[in-house]
Amino acid sequence: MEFIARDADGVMTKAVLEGLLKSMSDEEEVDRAKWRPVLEKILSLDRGTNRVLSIGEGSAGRVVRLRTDFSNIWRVAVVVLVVAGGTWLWSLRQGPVAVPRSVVEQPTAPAVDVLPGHNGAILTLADGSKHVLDSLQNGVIAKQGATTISLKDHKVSYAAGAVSAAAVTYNTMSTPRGREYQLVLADGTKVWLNAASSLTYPTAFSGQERVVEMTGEVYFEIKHEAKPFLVKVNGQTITDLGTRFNVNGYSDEPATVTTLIQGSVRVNDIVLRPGEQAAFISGGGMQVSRCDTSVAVAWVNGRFSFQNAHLQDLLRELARWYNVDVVYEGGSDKSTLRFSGEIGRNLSLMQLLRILAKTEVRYRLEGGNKLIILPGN
Amino acid sequence: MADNPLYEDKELFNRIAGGDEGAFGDLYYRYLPRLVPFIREITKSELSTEELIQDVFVRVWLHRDRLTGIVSPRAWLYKIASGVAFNYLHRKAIGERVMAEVARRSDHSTPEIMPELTMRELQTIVNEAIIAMPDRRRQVYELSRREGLSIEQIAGRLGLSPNTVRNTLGHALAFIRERLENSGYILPALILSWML
Repeated sequence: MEFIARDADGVMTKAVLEGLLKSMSDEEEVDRAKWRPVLEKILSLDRGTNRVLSIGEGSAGRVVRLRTDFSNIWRVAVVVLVVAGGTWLWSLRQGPVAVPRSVVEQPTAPAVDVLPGHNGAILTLADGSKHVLDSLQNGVIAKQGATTISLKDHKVSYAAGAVSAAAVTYNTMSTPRGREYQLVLADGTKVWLNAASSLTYPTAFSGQERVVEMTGEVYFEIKHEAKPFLVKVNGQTITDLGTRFNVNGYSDEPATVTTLIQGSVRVNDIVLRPGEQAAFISGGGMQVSRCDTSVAVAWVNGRFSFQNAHLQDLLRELARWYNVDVVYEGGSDKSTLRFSGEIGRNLSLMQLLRILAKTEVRYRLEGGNKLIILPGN
Repeated sequence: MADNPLYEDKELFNRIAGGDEGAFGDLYYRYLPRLVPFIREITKSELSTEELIQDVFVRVWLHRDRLTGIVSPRAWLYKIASGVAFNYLHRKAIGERVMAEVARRSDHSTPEIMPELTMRELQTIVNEAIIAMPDRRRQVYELSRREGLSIEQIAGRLGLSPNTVRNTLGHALAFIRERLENSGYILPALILSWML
């Protein structure tokens, strides 16, 4: 048999060849449950049910547009021509009469729109006092011991004074649905909180370790220090030494997912390398895989990003950002549609839903906070 | 005859050529136990093995219209697997040389090496290709992929001959492959030869 194989330098050594020929007779048990998702991904690749959502520029500057189906445009154009032609003929026969209002009127029932989320959070100080950070101006918010808490450009930062080990106090920053927030911790670590998330942290890091606790979704850019930085989330601990990573630990998501962008982190006792993702399913163990990190951190750059996402995955994210409740009617939660692409988070809900409608999702918005998904998707 | 593995492979290939997902799943699970250790032997990496297995079967699936011409399915699959795995080693070697060079010039920071094309990018290109197909071709293609109809069923529904449907599906796949190749998704092992 002619066999084409080389090592990395283009050389086919005897040892390499022997190893290969030997391994061609190898067979090993494979875990079907582990390999099924790969098969499904391959088969869904060219199914065409995967809707391209993207509009505008991708985060990498690549423009991906929602393609227009021209066959439909012609169908619409024909309908418009027929209606216009019919109206014209009719007006000829009737002479100049007022066209009935119902023909002229656009369907402009003032539909309620929902504005996208924006900056804002609630800061709970050690003494239990709460400060709403939507409306505060720049300046010093509070002094706690030696630490000054100040607000500038919608970012809270902590400047540690002379640190006395005795006086460590904890603050909690939390965002409701429809709000995100950035802050800088006392060690210079930068933190982004997505909607419906919280972070509890000391106002000064005086111990042997820097420990914070979070819920929801948080992106970290850790300031490198000899002291390790520990993140506690849903019963797991992420340890790192100077790096950038994202943790998605929403309680309504199937798994707590840690995505490493740069550097190195340890999730419980598994070490991740850049571009890897650890999914921790409570009671189900840990799964590490390579991933497209831009999907996980798209929100930090003000974008939604989906890769082969189910309708429900997509809507959970919209629910948190637009502060709406999603109701599935008539089995619409069984939709087999998948979505891929990126969209800015600054669109209003109606603008975003209009893009979704082009992908055949049918919906109704009620009372400005209830999104009903209709069957037939 | 049914116990003859060559016969079974060829039978699977013929069914996959008609767009049969079940047959593709059978082939996948039949060859995983052999291709997983084979690719791991070449790459010495557990993590990239999963990625490369995916790559091998994506290539098989996207060339399904041409599978009936393969004389020896087993040899052909090993050939694709080795092509994909050695291509990976080659890219990795280049990546490491670049990394070493970057590390020599600046003393910190880890540049991210971009993988070839992510599944998400493939997905976007394939979706756009489907949307850009001429109406008739897309209609036939979607009956095959979305509704899972066989070539004969599509022919019956549209009043076409099975051969016309088969050719149309072949054109649709060739169209998708062309879009992928224009975006830099190379199909090296497949270009070499079809017959073994």
